[in-house]
Amino acid sequence: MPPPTPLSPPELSYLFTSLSLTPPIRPDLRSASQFRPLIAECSFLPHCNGSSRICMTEAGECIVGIKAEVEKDATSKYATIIEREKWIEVSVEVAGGGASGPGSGVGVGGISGAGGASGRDEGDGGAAVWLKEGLLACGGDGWSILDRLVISKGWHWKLYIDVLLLTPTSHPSPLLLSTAVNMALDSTYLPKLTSPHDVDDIPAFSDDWAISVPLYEPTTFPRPPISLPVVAIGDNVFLDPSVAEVATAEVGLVVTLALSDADGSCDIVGVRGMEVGRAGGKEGDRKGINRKLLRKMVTTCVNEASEVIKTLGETTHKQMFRA
Amino acid sequence: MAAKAPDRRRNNPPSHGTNPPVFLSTSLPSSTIKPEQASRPPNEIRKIFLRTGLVSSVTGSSFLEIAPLKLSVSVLGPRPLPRTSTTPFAAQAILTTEVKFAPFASTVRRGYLRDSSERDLGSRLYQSLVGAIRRELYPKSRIEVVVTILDSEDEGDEVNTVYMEEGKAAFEPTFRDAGRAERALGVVLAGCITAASAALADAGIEMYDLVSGGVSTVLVDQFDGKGKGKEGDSEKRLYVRDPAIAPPEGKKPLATCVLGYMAARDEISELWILGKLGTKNGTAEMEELVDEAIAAARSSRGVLNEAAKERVQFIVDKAQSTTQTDDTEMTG
Repeated sequence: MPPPTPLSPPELSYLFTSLSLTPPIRPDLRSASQFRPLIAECSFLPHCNGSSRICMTEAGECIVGIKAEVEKDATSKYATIIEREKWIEVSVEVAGGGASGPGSGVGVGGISGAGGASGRDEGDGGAAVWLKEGLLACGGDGWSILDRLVISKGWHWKLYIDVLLLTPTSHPSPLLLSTAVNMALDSTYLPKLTSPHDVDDIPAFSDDWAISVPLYEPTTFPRPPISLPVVAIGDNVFLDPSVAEVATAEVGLVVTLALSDADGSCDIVGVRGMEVGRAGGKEGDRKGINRKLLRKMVTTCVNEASEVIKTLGETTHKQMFRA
Repeated sequence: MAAKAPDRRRNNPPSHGTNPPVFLSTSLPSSTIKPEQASRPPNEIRKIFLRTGLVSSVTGSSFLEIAPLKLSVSVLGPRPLPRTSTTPFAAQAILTTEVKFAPFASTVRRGYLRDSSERDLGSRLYQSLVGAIRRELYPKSRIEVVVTILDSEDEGDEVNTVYMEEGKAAFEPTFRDAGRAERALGVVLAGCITAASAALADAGIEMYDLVSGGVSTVLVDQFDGKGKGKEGDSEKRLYVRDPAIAPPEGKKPLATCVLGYMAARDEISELWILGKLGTKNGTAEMEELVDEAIAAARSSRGVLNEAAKERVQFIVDKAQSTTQTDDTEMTG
């Protein structure tokens, strides 16, 4: 279902016109590829292996806590991909038991609890699915986050990534959620293994957090992924769209990127369609993305995002408890 | 007084009756039905069987078969919104999509409640169809698309198994295929999109264009994985349309693209790319993958057109026969 908006048809029509001008005029006077300011903190939850809090002006606030548990492999000798993919569990919850206010329910394939694509029974679907998808797809080239979770023979870490959206009535932007998860992952530390690697006894760990091992080595690549929403109205492409812009947009994509080297170049690890309002335009207008527009949308993401991702990574590292 | 309220305590038959299905016996002996050829060229999609009008109790329906994948789609509506609905008024038709694997559709049994991947498929399907339907023509009504997957190519088999060698601490996977489950879902999604379009056409719901699904995968040689020759190996990339779940020998999948494509409008209504694509040459890698998926979608569009034509043909035939009888009556 298209996201419900508090905007009236004339308002939407006005927005549509102003956003399809050259150059476009966004309601908050940002340039087309400008992000909204955000407040980001990490490593502040004492009971978690990694945590973050992201606060975006309109898009709301969310907290992510990552906890790791030692778990025995389900099968001793064979571990199938399916079994391995259960090592990471992502859940997205909306504080206050779901939102029904105007502007909610906008998301990539539905956000959990906030009324998804079918507007019901979205227990853990939606956001959790694509967040995990990007995480697993990131760095398929001989490297996977799942390898980092292996402790020793027969044992692994089970990672629980719990996202709590604190502002239920706001627009849960994919950027908000993925930024928070990205930062939390980047600040996740696991206790150092003290028992030998190749014994399938219960593993033992050092209780000294000063020598704990980061989940993502700060200097290696790829880094955790980040998902950027991008929408198009006419020939104009907008990064980090606001609620009103999503409601007006004709088409939308969520492009998941991961930093692949120190120069700041990114790899595309996933692209997904995003639900947009398709309001304000005329009947019979654009119904999908043509190839030219697709190129423009993804190129904008790739060109503009690397700096943002890099800066975010630096901020995280500055704030980490061992920095 | 209005008609009696329907008896909800018993399982009532449809008021207008149903037709028993008629099965055609296969005239070919089983030996002549060959299994899918392993040497299918990479730019050729599998043969598709698509028929409409299988379920007689719904507005529109279709059945699709692509090698092991079998699914049926029912379209209910457009029908009025229920009075108890949270949205009593809608200027445009409300579309709902539901994808469900039958419990026996894969080796791992699926429950009767939809799990997260099924819900995700449902929202992907929604996304691909919603733009194509002329929803503004059906205000205050809802259209339901229900997909039941009866059989699918499976995710979990021995190729999918990572072998842990004795006495070795870390995984030494002989084969890593991270996007495997997603690729399996992608093939299913493409089938869902194509079949759902046919069912919507069968239901006589007005659309801007039919949406057909396409899948493509890019593979590289398995052994050039780590670092070396990473830049120059673009010519070694193999693009496969409508990929089988098990990748060919010695090849490693990099990324998969699933899309819903409206061929007459040249627009992509739904895009789902999964896997790693470099951006050294801008978006060239992604574009090539998308182009392959579009080509696959174009191929399946041919089948879709034929299936949609059935309904048109049926209406035309019926109209002709009624006008003929009218004529005879008038002359007689």
